[in-house]
Parts: sequence; structure tokens; C-alpha cells
Amino acid sequence: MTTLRRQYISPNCNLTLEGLAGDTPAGGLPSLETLLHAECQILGIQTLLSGGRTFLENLVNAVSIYSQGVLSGITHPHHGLANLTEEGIALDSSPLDSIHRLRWRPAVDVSSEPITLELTSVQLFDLLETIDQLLADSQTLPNWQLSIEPLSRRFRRAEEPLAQRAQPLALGTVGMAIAAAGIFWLPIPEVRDPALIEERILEETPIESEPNEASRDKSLEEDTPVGEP
Amino acid sequence: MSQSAGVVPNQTPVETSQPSALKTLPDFGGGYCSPQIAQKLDLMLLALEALQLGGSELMLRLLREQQLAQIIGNRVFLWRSRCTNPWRRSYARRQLKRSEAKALTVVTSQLAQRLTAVIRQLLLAQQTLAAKDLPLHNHYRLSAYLTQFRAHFRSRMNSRRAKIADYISTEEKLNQLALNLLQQLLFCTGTAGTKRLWISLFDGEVR
Repeated sequence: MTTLRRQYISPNCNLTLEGLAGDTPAGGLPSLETLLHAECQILGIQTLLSGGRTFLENLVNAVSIYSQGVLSGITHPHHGLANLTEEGIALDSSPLDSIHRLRWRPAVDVSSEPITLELTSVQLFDLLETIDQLLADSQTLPNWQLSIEPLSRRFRRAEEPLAQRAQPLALGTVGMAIAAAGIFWLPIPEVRDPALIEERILEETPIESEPNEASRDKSLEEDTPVGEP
Repeated sequence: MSQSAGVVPNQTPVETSQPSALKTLPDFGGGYCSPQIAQKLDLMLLALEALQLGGSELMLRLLREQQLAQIIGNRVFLWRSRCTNPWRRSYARRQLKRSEAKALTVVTSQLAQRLTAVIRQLLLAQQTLAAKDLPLHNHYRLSAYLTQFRAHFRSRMNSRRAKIADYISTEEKLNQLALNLLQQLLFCTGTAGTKRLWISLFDGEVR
């Protein structure tokens, strides 16, 4: 079987794949169907990332997921971040600087600490670009596809942190407590029985004589509009 | 995990009548987009305008080149679609149509691709300045971009909104927003930049 070598280049990154050729279509390029070895060299970083099919899949997944998080501003959960398995790759960044940290545990050195590479935004983008070139190439690993899907609503971060959202509630509660403490020291108003007050008023007011029937009829006549049915 | 190798996404088939530039973008949800998507797209276009003098003219030309004039035909329609951003002073109180959002995504990505060299140069300058602990205005081109972005943001966004007032209160916050947008624009310039941008807009929006 023929061995093939494919290279994907961006200004700061060089991704090389070696593998065995599959069926060659008439008049077309042979497709690389079985991957033997993958290498990724980032300019300005001495460590050479290399491995087999698992390494390449982990690299593509980790970089793709992380880059989507950079684009949307919502951090995507990554299962490999807590404990990297063999040939595992994970990316994270510190909110204090714009450096992206790529952690890689090579297959040959599983017991030791993972290797950490510090990438700038431009280096990370160039790494993503070589990966996208590879994914766009239908002649390399044609049976392998990467699906990019948006993150679910449950991972959405609130625009305002919880402490900030709880601020009005806390302010209201404290304000009410202060007002209650102030009111506590005010004298209790004297309670007066409304029945007794009413009786007193009735005693003081002279009783007026009720208007007779004739005068009531007269006033009704005056109120009725003239000419209406 | 939101992504997996070897699995084809279960997405709604894309309409065949739409322009070819939009056919590669998958459909999520209904026919309208959330205000967050409109806000994100408008801010990215604002950053592009700060990078390139006469950016809005270039956007209109790109819309015509990509046969997207049937969706956003002229300057008024472009302005109206951008006014779906709730942060705007002239907020239109309507939702951005999916076709409009797709057209704006294509324009953002295409314009960013044309300005790749400048975007890379500015991001490299910012990293160099940060590494040497120097202020951002030491780099003339980067300082010009940040000044222009701040001016655009202050003149077009509604300062009565608490979030905007917070951004406007200090230069640092607006500078950080401008730099974040610059970084996001870089990620739109790649081979799959348009698709990646479009999918990222729906992060936290789908079930």
C-alpha cells in the first residue's frame, strides 16, 4: 500500500499527517484513509505535538470546542479538563490574560504531569485554521467528520453575576430592617373606640327636623328636566 | 460535550430558494433570532467599522457581491436590521429575521477576511504591549482603532441602559470589549469562519 503525506499550513502552524492510501478515483488524488502518524508544530513553541489517530481526534475536538467558546464568549464544558487521559488534550485560559493554555499528555509519558503550551490568540487561530483545512479536505480521512453544534441553553451564563443580581434584594431587606428599627422607638398611638366618638358627636350636634312630604315633592319637581319623556 | 467526531448533526434542512452564500449555514430554532444574536452581530460590525473607514459602504458592496441584496437591499435596510440590537439608541423593538442574521454573518465574516492582515497586526501588537506591560496607546494603529470604537459605541448605544453606562464609565472596559471583538473577528477569517461564527451565535440559545 502507498504511504501518503499531507500537510496543512497556516502562518504559525504546520500540521502533517502520514497514512496509507485508500482507493484512488480515476483521474483524482488518492485519499488518505488510514492514519499512521500526525504531527503539529506551532511556530515559536519548541514542543512538537505528535501521536496517532486518538491524538489527532483529541486535538481537533479540543481546539474546535475551545475556539467556539472564544467566538461566543461562553465557555464550553470539556470533559478532559479535570484529568487528562492518554494522548488527551485540553485548553483553558485565565481571565486575567489573553493567553490560551493547551495541556497535552503524551502517550509515552502517561505517569508524568501533562505538558502545557501557552498560545497567543493568533497562534490558537492558526492551529484552528490548519484543523479546518484538514476537515475541509475530502481526500484525507474521508470517513471522519466533525460536527459543530451550539451549546445548550443550560450552559448559558447570566449576564450579571449572582452577587450583583442579589444586591437590590439585600438593599431592600436592609432598608426595611432599618425602617422597622426606627418605627419600633415611636410611641404607640392611643386607641380610641369609634363607637364612643360617634356617640359624643351625636350628643353635641342638635337634631334637625325632617322635611315634610310637600317640600320633598317640590324639590323633586325642580330636579326633573322639562321636555324630556 | 457539544461536539463529537463522526456524528452528523440532526439539523433542519436548509431552504433551497435562499442565496448560495447562506446555504452552508444550518438552521436552528424559528424564523427569528434572539436580541442577543442581533446585539453580537451589530457589535462585530461596529468593530469592523472602527477598523476600516467607510466600512458601511463596504458592507453594502459585499451584500451585492454575495447576492444578498434581496435580503438587505440598501443602506436603510442595513441600518434597520442593525437597529434590532437592544443596546442601540434607535432600538427598533423588533426581532432580527433569520435570513437577515445570516446575511449579516456572511458580511461580517467576509469583511473580516478582507481585513485579516490588520486584525492580526493589532492582536500581535496588543500581545507585545501586554508582555512588556506598556499602555495600549503606545501603538498608533491600535490606539486609533480603540479610539474609533469608543467613539462609535458612545454615539450609537443607549447610555441610559445600565450596561452601556457601565461600559462608558471607563475607557478600560470599552477597550477590553473592542479587543475581545477583535479576537472574535480573527476567528471569523478562517476556512470555516462563517460557519463557526453562525453556530457560535446560537451558543446558549438552543435546547
